[in-house]
Amino acid sequence: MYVLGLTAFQRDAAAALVRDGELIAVAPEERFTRNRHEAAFPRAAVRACLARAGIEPHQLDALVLAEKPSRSFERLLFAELTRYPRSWRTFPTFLLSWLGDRLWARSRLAQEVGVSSDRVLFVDSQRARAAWAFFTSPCEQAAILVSDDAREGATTTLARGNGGQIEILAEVHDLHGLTGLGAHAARHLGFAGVEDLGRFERLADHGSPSRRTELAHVLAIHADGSHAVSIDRLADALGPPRAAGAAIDGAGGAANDAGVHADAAASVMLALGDALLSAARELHRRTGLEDLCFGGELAEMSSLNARLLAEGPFRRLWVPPAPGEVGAAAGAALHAAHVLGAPRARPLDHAFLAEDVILDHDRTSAPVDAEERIRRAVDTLCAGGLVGWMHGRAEIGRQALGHRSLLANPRSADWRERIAQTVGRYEGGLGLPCAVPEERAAELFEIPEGGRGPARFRALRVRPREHAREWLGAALQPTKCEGPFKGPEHEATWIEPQLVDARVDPAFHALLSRFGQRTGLPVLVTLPLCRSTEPTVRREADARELQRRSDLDLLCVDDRVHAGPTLSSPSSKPADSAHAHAIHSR
Amino acid sequence: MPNFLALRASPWSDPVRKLLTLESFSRTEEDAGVDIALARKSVQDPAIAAHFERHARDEFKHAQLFRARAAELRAEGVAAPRDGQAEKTYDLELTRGVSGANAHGFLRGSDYEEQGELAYVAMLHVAELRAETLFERHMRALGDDERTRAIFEEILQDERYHVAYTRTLLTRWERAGRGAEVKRALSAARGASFIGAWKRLGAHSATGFARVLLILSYCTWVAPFGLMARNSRARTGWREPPAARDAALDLRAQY
Repeated sequence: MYVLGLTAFQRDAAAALVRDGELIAVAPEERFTRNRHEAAFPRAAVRACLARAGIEPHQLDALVLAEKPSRSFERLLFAELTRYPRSWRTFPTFLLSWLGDRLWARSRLAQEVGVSSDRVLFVDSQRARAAWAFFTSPCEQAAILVSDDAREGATTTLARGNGGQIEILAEVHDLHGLTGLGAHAARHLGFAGVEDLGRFERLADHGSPSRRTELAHVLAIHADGSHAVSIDRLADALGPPRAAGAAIDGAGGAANDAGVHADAAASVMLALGDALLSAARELHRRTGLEDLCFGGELAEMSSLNARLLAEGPFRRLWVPPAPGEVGAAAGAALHAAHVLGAPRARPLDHAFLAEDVILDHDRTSAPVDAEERIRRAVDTLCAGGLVGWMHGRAEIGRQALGHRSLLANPRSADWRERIAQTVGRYEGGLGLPCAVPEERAAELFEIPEGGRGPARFRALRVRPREHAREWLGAALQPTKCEGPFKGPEHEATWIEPQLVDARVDPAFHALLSRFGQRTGLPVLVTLPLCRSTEPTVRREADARELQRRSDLDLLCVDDRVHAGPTLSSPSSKPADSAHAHAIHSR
Repeated sequence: MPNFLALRASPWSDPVRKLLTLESFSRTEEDAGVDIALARKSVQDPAIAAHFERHARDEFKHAQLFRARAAELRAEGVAAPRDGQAEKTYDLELTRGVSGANAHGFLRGSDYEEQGELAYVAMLHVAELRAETLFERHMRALGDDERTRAIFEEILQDERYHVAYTRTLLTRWERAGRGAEVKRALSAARGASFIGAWKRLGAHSATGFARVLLILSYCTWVAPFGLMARNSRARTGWREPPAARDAALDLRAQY
C-alpha cells in the first residue's frame, strides 16, 4: 500500500511516501527549485518520491494533504472579519485566492498528481505533526506536545500516543499562537518571520531577558497551563524595531550590554519557553507519562528543547528531524497509512530520507576509496581547512547531519571567519554546532539521559564538560559573530551536538573517529553544505559551484574528491604547518 | 523599434516580478520536459523518439537555467513578493487551462496515445513557434540584464531546433499523402491557442470584476458580520477536541 503525504500552498511545501506503513522518501520542494522555503505546489518533490518507489501516480492508494482546507478557510475568514474595516484590502485577495483555488483542494490535488479524487484524503495539520513526532519515536506510549502556526485553529495541542493511536486531549485556539508570536517578534527585529526563527534564537543568545515583564501583556500564561497571545501589543513590548539588513543595535544599556534587539529576542525566547513548560506540566498532569514527543515549528529550536527537558516534568524527550511543515507531510502519510490498515512505522534512527547525490556525468576525477577519502579529509581538517562532505541520501530538515555537511576543525582559530566566507554569512550565536561519535558524547558533553533522541538530530543544547572546555579551546574562545550580529565578544556557552551512530552512518562515524585519533578530540563543526541564502546542495555540480565561489578546501562527493584552490595554492596559511606540509607534499 | 506596449507590460523592469517570472518560466519548462518525456515512452518510431528525448532534455536544461538565474537574484537580495506583486508576474502557470495544455501549449504526455503522433507533433510545432516569438519579445524587453539575455539566447537556439524538427516531421507526413490531416492538426493547435488567449482575457476580466464585487460586499452586507466578529471575545484556555469521528471518515472530510 502506497500513501503519499503532502504539504502545499504555503512555505516549505514537501512530499513524503509511505509504503506498507514504512517511510521510504521525504522530499522538500525547495531542494529542487533551489528557492528556500519554496511555497509552490511540490510537483518535483512528488515526482522524486514516486521515482524512489518506482511507481506511477495511479498506483497510489491515497494522497493525503496535511491540512483540513475548509477549517483553515473558516479560521482565516474569521481572522479577516475581526480586523474589520482594516482588512478591506486583504479581504478580496484572500477570498479570491481561496474561492478560486485552495478551497477546491481535492480536485486540485487529484489533477496535479494524477490520481482520482476519491483517493485524496485530509489530515488536520496539528494531528499530522503529532503523528510525525510520535510515530517516529521509539515510545510505545508517550505524551505529545505540538506547537505551530494556526492553520485550522489550534496552535498548541496536547495529545497522548498509544501504539498506533493518537488521542487529542486539549487544544489552545489562537489567531497567532506561540509560533506566530515568535514570527512576529522576528519580523519586528528585521528577520523574515517563521523562516528565520533559527537566526532569531541565535540573536537571543547575545541578550538578557530584560523585557520579560512587558511581554506579560503579550503572552498571558494561565494557571491551567494554557496561554493567550495578543499580538497588537508586541511592538510596544519589544521596543525599537530593526529594519531588515540593518545592524543589530549594540548600544543598549542591558545588563550584559548586548543591545536592545538581542534583549528583546532573549525576552521572547524566555516567554516562549515559559509557555511551553506550562503546557508540558499540564500535559504531564493529564497523562502521567514519562516520555514527551515534541513537534511543530518551535521544536526546531534547540534552546527550547533543552529547557523542556531540564525544567519540565518529563524524563525523556523525543524531537524528530524537520518537525515543522516537511515533517507534517510525512506525519500525514504515516497517520493515513495506519488508519487504512498498515502497521505502525519503525522508530526513526536517521534523517537520511531525501534524494541521493546527483553526480556529474563528466567524471573528471578517479574514484577514491573510502580509506583514502577519510585520510585526505582528516589531513585537510587538521591543517585548518574546510571540507564539504556529501554522500548517500540527503538529510531532511535544516540541520546538517553528516550527509550534506560543511565540516571544520573546532580548534582552528579562524573557523568562524572561514565558514562565513564560504557560506556567505555565519551567525552561530554563542554555540558550537558539532558532530561527535555517540559512544564518546557522554565523556565530552553533559547530555541528559533523556535527551539522546533529539541529540541524534542536533535538536538539543548541552554544556561541555570541564575537560572538554579545555580541549575545545579555540572553539569556545570569545568571538564576534559575522553578519548583523555585532554584539560584544562572548565565550561560547553551549554545544549543539549530533550523536553519530556507527551503525547508522559508518562513513561519517569513521571520519570523526579518525579525526579524534589524530587530534585527541573527535568533534567536528558541522553546518549545512550550502550558501546561507540557498537550500542544501542537491547535485555534485551545486557543491562544486559552491567550492569554486568559496574557501572550501576539499569536497568529498561519494567516491570522488575535489581539492579546492586553497589546497593547491602555495600561499595558503593553514593552522598547523606540519599538517599543511603533509597536504602540499601529496 | 521596441514595442512600447510590450515593454510597458514587461515584468523585467521590476526585480521582484523578474524573479517570479523566471521561477514561473522554470516551472513551465520543467513541466514541458516531463510531458515530452512521458510522450517519449509511447513513441515507436526511433527517429521521433530521439527527437523527443533531446527535446525533453532541452526543456529540463531550460528549467535549470531559469532556476539558477532566479537563485542568483535571490542571492543578490531580491526579496520574496508582497501582496499584489505576484499577480503582476508573467506567470505561465496561470495561463494553463486549454484542454489540459500548459501555457506553451504542451498537452499532458499521457494524451499522446489518445491524440496520435501527428496531432501531438503539430501541437508541439505550434507551441514552439509561439515560445520562440514569446522569448524573442521578452529578450528585447530585458534592458541591460546581460546574464538573463544570455540564457534567452541559449534557449532560443534550442527552440529553433524544436521548430525545425517538428516542421520536418510534419513535412514528411505531408509528402506521404497526409497533407489534409496535417493541416487539420495545425489548425486545431492554433485554434486551441486562440481560445486559450480568449479564456485568459476572460479570466483576467472576471478577476477584476469579482474584486470589485467583493469590495462592494465588504462595505455592505459583510459589515455587520465584521463588527460582530470584532466585538466578539476570543475564547481562551484549553478547548476539548470535538467528539471523535470514525478515523476513516475523518480522513475523507475536508472539514
